[in-house]
Amino acid sequence: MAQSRNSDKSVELSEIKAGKQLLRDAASDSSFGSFLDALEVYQSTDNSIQAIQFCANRIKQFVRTTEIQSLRIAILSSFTLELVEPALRVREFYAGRNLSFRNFAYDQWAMELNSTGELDKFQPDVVFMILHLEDVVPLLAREHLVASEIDLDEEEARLLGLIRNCLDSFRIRQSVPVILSTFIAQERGVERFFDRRAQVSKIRRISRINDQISKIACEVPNVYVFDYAEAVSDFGRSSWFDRVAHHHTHASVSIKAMKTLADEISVFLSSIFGRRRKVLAVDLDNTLWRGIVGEDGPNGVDAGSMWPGNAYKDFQTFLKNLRASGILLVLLSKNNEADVLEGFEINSRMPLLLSDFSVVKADWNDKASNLMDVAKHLNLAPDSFVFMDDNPLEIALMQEQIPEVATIFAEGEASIFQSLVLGSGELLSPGLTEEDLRRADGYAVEEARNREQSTDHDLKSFLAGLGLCLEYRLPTRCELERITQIFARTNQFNLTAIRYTYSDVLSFIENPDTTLRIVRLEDRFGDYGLIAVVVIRSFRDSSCQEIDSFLMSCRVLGRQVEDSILAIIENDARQAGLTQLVGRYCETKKNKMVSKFYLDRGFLSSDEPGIFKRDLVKTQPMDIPDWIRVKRES
Amino acid sequence: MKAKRNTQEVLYSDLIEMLSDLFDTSSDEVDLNTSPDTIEAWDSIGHMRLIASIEEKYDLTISPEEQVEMLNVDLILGLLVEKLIES
Repeated sequence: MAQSRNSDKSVELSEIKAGKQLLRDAASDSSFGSFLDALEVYQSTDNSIQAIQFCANRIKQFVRTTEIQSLRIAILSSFTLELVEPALRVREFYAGRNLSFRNFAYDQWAMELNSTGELDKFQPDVVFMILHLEDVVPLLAREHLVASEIDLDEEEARLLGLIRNCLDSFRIRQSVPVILSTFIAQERGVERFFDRRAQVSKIRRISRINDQISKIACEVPNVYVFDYAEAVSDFGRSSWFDRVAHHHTHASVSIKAMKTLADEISVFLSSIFGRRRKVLAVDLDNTLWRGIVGEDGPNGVDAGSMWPGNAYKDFQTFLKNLRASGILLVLLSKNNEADVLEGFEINSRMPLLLSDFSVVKADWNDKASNLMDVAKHLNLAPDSFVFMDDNPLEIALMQEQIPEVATIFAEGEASIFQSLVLGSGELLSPGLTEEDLRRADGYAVEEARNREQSTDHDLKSFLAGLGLCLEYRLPTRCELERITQIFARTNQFNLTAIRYTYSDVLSFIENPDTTLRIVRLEDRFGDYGLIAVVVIRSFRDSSCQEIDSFLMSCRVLGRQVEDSILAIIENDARQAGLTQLVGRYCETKKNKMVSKFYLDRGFLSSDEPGIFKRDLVKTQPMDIPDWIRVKRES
Repeated sequence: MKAKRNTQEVLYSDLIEMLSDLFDTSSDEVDLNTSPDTIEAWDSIGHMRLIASIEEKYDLTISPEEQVEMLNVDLILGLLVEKLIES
């Protein structure tokens, strides 16, 4: 993967030259799509350092004329990491982001975090920090057998104290995400055979530092941890580090590793700045088990503990973990439903149970229409889905019919299926919220509610029977991450679709002219968690208030929760003596369902499009449906 | 790419292409006298890129002593001829 020579592939030189010329032309005059195609074609023939730099330069040229979301990344490293820039630029471009890059190397990291300087001037959107033990705790890295235990303890405490202080003082000035990295020694020394049973163990000290890094990340807001040590291990430590360059120019990471490092950084950034998809819709035969249940019978399919079934069994376990991290699973199988049910029943010791799937579609309809049905059923847009199948035809059909759905072609041995899912990065999260951990089970509870609803013809008495309780209040500190997630992900019930960031959310709490409120909902079946966010703006010397943002999770639709929230806002405005409430709507591709939200609730349209007004003097207070109990902060 | 024989002419034209790709200049602007003084992007980081790129392309190692001697295209070409043709 890191080896970038093309010679083994025996690509014709003329082909490389043609691809290069094509890319050169596309950079000066072409659409985003055809430039991306040209980039992919050229990269598939030549992946050398020279070619990556050429691509990076063409991207720089292309973005001069085309608007692309920019992301300003500051990398603080204890060694020089300038060399990662071209590979990172290319990788970020594929992720839809235009890279602005600045590397603060050597000992600048502490100074830049501690006080206003070049880092602040750069105005980063994210700060990535990678430190090497050799640079920041040299006693431990180089001479831990010679140094005294007291000195080693002191050195360790000094480093951790410094990191913590730096982050604290940076947080006072800036609230952008900071990503810390774990530590790994550049090589194993003479202690390699006895270290694990030594009194002063190097490896144990390093793990202890890494534990403290995790602790800091939990305590300082908006700090994540990139497991650099694991990334280095995946690649191979001895090829990752370059001893000669470390001594000569302090470019301690070998240039061979730059492409991998760029990939790792970029996927991590996608998990923060990209949209995490919510559902993996997965095929059954030869994807989840070996064999075709309709032909081989329920006893003929294999996901057991022996080869080849064991690879499928492990993949199922992987999906179970994915589900636990907040991704819903959906089964899309072209089969007779009875065969599928029997297959799961007979093989009941497989990791995945039918109940792990939020929806099971086993029939002979085409998978694209089935996926659309599922999307409707789950109240999710198709772009929340990833589809995985071992049949290239199904993949191609899905891409053609619903291009918003991301696809994974389960090609080759089942042993690598999990790395295919992980490599796409679209289902990964840099930090799990309470909601993530509960999501998949939450949908199962929702199914139970639906079953009850379908047996209960009178909607009002069904709703009354749910015992809905709505909590409307200021967010707590640990809810801020979830709020940012809602701003980033909610597409359908989102009146203005402004994508506020973590920093914005923090500023709302501090600003007396903005009111940020969250809504939690529960009923007798369970807790829905944090399901809505509103931002209300007040204006000095004005008796008017404006609803800047109103977002709600679609899974609570059909209970008039949205009416209750609006009524609470409206009643609060009255109590504050205001005379007018303004609602805003900005149309996007996906939020048409709420285009008439304010009009339907007694607001009047105004001269300005998207602005709706309610006169609080001439109208009666809005009602809260009587099946919803409202809990306010005391 | 290995199929191509390393003659001085081929090494020279490949080197020009490499410099123009790495430093984003037109190949017309690169000749034997081109050096860090004549191309802005050929700074110390650029020099590292160039060395890594040469090492990768010709599958060889350039020692730190040799790296500091590579002060212009002529000297680099001389080094490549020495390593790839004369040896």
